[in-house]
Amino acid sequence: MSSSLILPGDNLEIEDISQYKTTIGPGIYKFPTREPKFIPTQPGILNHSTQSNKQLIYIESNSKRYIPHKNDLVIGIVVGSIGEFYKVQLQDFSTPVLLNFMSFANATKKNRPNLKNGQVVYGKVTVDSIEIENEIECIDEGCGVLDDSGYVFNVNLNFARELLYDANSIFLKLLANKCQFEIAIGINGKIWLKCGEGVKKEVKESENKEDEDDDMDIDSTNVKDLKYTLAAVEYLKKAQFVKQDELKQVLNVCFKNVEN
Amino acid sequence: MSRNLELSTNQKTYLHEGLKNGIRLSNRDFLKFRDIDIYLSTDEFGYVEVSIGNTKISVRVSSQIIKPYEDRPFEGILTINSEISSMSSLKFDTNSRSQEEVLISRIIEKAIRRSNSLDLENLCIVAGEKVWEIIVDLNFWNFDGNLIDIGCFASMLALSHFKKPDISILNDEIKIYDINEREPVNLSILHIPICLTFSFFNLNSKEMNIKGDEANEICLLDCDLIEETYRDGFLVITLNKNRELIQLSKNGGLPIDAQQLLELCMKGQSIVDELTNLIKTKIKENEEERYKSNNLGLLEATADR
Repeated sequence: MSSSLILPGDNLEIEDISQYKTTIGPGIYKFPTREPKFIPTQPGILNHSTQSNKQLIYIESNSKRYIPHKNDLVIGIVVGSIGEFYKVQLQDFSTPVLLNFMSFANATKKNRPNLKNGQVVYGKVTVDSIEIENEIECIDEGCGVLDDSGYVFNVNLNFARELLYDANSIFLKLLANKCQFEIAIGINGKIWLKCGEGVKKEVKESENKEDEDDDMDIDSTNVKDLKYTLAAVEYLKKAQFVKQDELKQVLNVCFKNVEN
Repeated sequence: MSRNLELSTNQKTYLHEGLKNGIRLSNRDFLKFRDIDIYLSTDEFGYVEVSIGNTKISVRVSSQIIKPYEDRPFEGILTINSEISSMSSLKFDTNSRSQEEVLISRIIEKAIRRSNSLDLENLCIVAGEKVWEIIVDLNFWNFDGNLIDIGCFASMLALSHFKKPDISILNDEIKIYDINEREPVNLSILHIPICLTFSFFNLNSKEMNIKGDEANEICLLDCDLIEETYRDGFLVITLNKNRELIQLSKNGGLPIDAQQLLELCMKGQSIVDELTNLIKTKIKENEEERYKSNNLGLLEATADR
């Protein structure tokens, strides 16, 4: 596995593609000619690995715009519905993708989730054509509606990829020392996060006011979880831009107000 | 492409629940500005960059000599261009100006031009013939809320930083000196107006607020993008250091008490003092730096005592 910096149009220094079976990833374009030829289309770090007579090439870079690809796990916001589909937005100011009413686990015509605008779903991209509208589904385990108790925020795309795919990533391990949390990472740069029980909307005028002490307890844990979640969000947002040795310091700064 | 900024209900829930308990999403106090980051150009006059949180703006001031308006022969002209391009946020469309954009431009213009913060008569060269026109160009680079406050602040900073070339008049002939030939002159700024935008949130039902018995709306200063999206109304107060109230702008939205209006003006005064001092110290630092780097000390005629 080797990596080097590359710019669009540069010469790709890879093994002869007539002898090696080549798999290409993001940032590489294949000319659709009889003699296949590859060129880089993005600036970034070229990752190249060979194994017997196979090779893998892709370019790792940090972009802001997310382009849907098949099997990507994404977080989207429901912005409306059209016919049999929900319209789901994966990034601000992007074209919405479609989510079929039936594309939920155990959904039937009579029993389908009723989503409101502004709700958040975790899904997988199934159609990524440039000619027709893209589609996602929420059938797999872990996918589906993300409840209102968590906070949704944006991070850079490469940071989201690192959090999702790098099992040894230090960011979440450090965060786990501070608090208990539940997280969903979409590689479209959206993260859903909650610490403890997250935030519950205040129950309006509970019918029996006998257990007022209990209510107070719920209220205070609610505030505590809210503070922890916001601190964790702040930490993750800042973590994108700091060096690894400063990470602990950032973590302590973010949680300073909460722990006292 | 969608022109709308879509925010999730999760963010709204967090914002409202947080405000109920006295917490902002950014963990700031309710009436506290974000940290202001300022860059003043050292090799040209009248170029500044100001950022506050993720909002960023640059302002360039330039000058030219033109003929004055016929009805005001003794006054120079101040022009403020504040179009918001889609570069700052796709929410702002270049083809059609939204109400919000017009409002931002007009409030900044009112605060600076209509309040007479710049002495226009001082810009007159030959009455009825030639005056200076001062042009202020605002470029919004990134949008994360609060364009009004920061736009006004940056414009005043740039005007304080700007120097126009020195001129002399001899037998009806005007000579403009190069800035290297003669030290350029400052504009005469009469006062520094500062805009403060207060945003209101109503966490109870709307009716409760109109009735006025229990109007416990929440008031925030310097809102970011999320807060600005969900606010129920806002109020712009423009003040200066001399405790003068220059502008009040409340365009619909949540009704508020007169009592609260007075309170906000009072509270705003200390923030205005702080921001005015910030402008003054930054300009002074910049002057000193320029003095050192250009070795202007060598040109001084008086002896150092």
